[in-house]
Amino acid sequence: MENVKKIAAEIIGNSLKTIAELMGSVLVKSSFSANIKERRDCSTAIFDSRGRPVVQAEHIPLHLGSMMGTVKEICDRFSGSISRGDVFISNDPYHGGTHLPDINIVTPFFRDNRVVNFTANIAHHSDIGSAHPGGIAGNAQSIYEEGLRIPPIKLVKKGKIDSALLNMIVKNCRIPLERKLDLEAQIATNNIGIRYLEESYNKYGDDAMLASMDELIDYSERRLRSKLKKIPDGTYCFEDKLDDDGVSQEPIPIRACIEIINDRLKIDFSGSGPQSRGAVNVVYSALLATVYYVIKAFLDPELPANAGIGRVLEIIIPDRSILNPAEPAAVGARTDTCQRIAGTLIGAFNKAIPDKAVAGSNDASTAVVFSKENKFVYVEAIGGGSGASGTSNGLDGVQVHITNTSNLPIEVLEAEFPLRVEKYEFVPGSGGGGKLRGGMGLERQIRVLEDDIMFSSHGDRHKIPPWGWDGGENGKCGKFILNNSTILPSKNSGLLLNKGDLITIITPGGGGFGKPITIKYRKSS
Amino acid sequence: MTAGIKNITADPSRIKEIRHGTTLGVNTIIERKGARVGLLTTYGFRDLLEIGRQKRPRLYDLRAVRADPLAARDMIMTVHERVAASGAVIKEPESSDIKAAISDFKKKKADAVAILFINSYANDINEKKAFSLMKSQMKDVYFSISSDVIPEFREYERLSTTVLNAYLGPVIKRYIKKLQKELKNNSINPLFFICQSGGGITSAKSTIDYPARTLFSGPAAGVMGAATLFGEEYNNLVTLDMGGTSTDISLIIDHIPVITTNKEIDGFPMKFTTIDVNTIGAGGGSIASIDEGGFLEVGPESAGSDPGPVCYCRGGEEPTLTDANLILGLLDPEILLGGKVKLDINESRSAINKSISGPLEMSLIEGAASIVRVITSNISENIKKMIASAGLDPKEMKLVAFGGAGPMHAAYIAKELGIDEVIIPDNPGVFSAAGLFCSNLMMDFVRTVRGKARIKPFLKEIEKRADLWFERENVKKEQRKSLWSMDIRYYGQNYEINIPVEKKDIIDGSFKKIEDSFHKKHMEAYGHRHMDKKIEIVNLRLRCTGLISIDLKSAIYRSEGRPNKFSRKTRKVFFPDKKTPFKTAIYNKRLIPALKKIEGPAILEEIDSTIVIPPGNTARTDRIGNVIIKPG
Repeated sequence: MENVKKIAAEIIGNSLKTIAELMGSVLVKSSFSANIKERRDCSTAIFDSRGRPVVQAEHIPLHLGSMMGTVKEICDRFSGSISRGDVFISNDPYHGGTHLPDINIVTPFFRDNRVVNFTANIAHHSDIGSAHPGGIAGNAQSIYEEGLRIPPIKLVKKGKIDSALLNMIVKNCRIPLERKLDLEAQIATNNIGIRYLEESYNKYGDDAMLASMDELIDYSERRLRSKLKKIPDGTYCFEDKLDDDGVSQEPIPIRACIEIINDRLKIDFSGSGPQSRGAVNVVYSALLATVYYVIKAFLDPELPANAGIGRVLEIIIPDRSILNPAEPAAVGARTDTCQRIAGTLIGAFNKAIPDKAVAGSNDASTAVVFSKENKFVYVEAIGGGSGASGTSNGLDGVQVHITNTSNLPIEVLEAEFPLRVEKYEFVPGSGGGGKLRGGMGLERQIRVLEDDIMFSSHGDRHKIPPWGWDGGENGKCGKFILNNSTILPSKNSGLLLNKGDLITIITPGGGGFGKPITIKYRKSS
Repeated sequence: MTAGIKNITADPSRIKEIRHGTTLGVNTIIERKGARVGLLTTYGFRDLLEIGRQKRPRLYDLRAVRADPLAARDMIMTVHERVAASGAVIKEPESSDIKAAISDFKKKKADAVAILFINSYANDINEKKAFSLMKSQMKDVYFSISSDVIPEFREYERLSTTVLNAYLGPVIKRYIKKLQKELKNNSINPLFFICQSGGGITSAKSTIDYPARTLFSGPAAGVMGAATLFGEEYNNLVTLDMGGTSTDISLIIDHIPVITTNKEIDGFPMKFTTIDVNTIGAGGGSIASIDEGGFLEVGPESAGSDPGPVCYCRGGEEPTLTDANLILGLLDPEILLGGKVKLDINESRSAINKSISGPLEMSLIEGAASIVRVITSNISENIKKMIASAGLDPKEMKLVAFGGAGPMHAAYIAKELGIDEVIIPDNPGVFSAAGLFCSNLMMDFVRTVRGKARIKPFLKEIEKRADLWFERENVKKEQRKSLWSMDIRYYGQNYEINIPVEKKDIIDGSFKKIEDSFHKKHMEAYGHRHMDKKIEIVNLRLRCTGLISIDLKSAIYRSEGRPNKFSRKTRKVFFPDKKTPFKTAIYNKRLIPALKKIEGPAILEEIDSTIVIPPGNTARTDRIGNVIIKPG
């Protein structure tokens, strides 16, 4: 492309990014549930006519995978039968999604009777009709326990909403009104995206718009290739393990070999564990999103995540493995596995570019649920330590990699639920020692103020610690403790608590970097 | 300051009033030059300040580090004490813990102490007990108590605001005392006010109590000026304050600046009411470069004023926006600061050729024009997001542009957005100062209520604090204005909407009226409402205003020129969206009379700014020297 036109493409690209971001702010604003509005567990994107992602508003890294998979499915299955005013819905991990609570809404955009773009958004709904509230139980054994499956289907046909279908969907979920309002907000979000797209096409012209989208994809490809070129050719492997799958107690290996061939990248996950009986399986779209995350985080944080990345990438996954499960394997708790995949890939990249190496982060997603039937559900994901790098200590008490949710204020929690927080501090010494130390994990103690409160959780890194790098020490493991005496497993469902019981949650620290000369961790009281 | 005053007038005793804007707060935090803060908090919560909301600084950066906290971990002491969310005292503060903290803070030479206990927003009794015990034994220390500073729920945001306040306290106090002494020594005895982030001013004493309220006051004055001078006539405005390194944008809707209570500084939340200003890394010093994918980037990296753009010849090597403007002819090499600084266009040419035009295989002019187009796009997209997020359309807005670089780029930004009118105030480079005169005394009070039973007692309490403030600021009864509002949400939501309310309705218990306006506002803001859902009143707010602004609208513009004889010269100018150059009339702005029409292309030069009127645009001066441009 001529360079003056390239500038034009760049400027149009700016405006496309604005549209995706505006869609994101509309979705956050117009949704109802706290999960979308407050925790911003949603994302938005614009795709081209072939289903390739062009721009996205980044809230949650894992979401792009689900939208990519879903739009591709829609292009494949509905080619030729898409009309103006149609809106698609889907959440099925075996048709593009990643787990059932994440619902995708996709809307085609037409110019002269031709689809030129799709606007898409995804939101994490707090319930989708699973056996246990929330749909992310660590020990579900098939997808049928995890809630309602919606393969790609038209929820709106030629501008008319299929209210029978909408009703059927929301009636299968807890808190149907909230589901309905959130889905309506999702539909409205895409329509606003289309309104802005229409303005842009009118302003810049169809040819310039289409050329710009191609150029944006080419741009990401060029940018990534130039980064890869600087890495010495070779194959670099790393292996880590999940503690268990919540059903058996066996550790599950996650293995990745990255091969750099000039300016191309091949990733082979052979050697990773078999399909799990629990819910820690990861479908392809979730795996792909995790790979995109690591490429950005390790090589180029500013790299626009779009189809250009896919062009330089080849992924090999073993059949019937935890990373390539067959229907109807459960997938609800895939976050823990995705975190471990991210850590494993970072370990492999460390070997390829030792200058940029970082130690292992807590690489888990410690989630706890306190609930009382028909009264309340309190869900919290608690951060841990991140790994040290050659230039910095790890971060203390943060969400790492593919999750990015905030904590609920203690003063909100105590006002709304019969719970009291007695401690919320870093765990001194939990970050691995080293020239630079790993980040500290968190300790949170929650006292139960009523009888008959249920406790569920999924966590990992309770047995296998986060790894140090280059002689740095491992971070400490996490644990759950009841009444300062009984150690609980990392994956619990429905443990019944009584008034006065105390649950202590300790999350893993991060790995240290470099041989410890003097171990630096900050002193406690 | 006294030197400055003597520059203005030979007889300083004639000065009746000084209104002072300061960036001391921001600089103190950025440079970490604030107080040594000791923090006292509830046992079990030592790390609240660092844990924050457990978010990492950047989503995709494995090596990111957090900003250093303003109270180091070894300066944090805890007390066995506890209050429940209901306000009930579960445990009174252990005095031995407080005594241990006192001796520790003394040993470590803390010059400020911040206190936050969990749930003190609901009942401040434990906090107050700890405070009075500490104060009696730490006489020269600055105290910042969370239930006094910002009695709002959500412990981390309250803590962060309280600590910011403690961190700035001693610094701002010293600064103000020194200024006052200096004025007194020079027999200058005026009223003295300091600009606040919310767009108001307050006395020195109020500023010393709540110094964190000055943090975002820098851009606030200009926005107040725009709202006062142009708000009534135009209703909805975008302000664009573009300088050397950054651009501040804000919205004025129904002639009132949009405010927020969710600002952050260096990653630390600051809950005081603040004019909602969005800062973009785009200014005259923004550096242009080609990135690894071959796209042209302009900013956020800036050459600032030192070394500054390449044309300043002070060691800058990377081309900037100013270099591009110089090459295009938009900027006169002789004009800057009345010719005190000479610009070297040849240096700009070779830098842009080397870094931009060469690698992109473009002509020099195309390279320079591309830099201007990219920065115009960056700023426009940010404004577009802000306007759309407020639920408005750019076509309903006018653009007010000021700052050194704003008037040069405003017409293009307006065109990009579809805005049909640009207002350049007189003396755009120092418009913020004019804004200070338009400001009133202002103070915001808040209390988290959560439940109707607490509303009336808390209302009385806020009123008492407000009366004290009015009296302390010497506001006469007839100048006092009080606006009550409530932050309300549907039960179960975690997101409130601010609803203006009448005090009478609160006292009468007419909640129906308040709830109706909440339903209505929720519908307007989010597109749905739920008449049958329970409503929760979260915060009660009061904004107090003391009306003491100075009327600038009746000022008279004095042109220094003669009517019909003010054209100075012409120059060949390349406009960034045009392929060929234009012979362009160059005017000295100070010589243009009021109510004069000017056809584009034209350039109006002033000592502190250059106004660009592109081909096809028309402009006029109004009665008081503002320039109004209509993009073509």
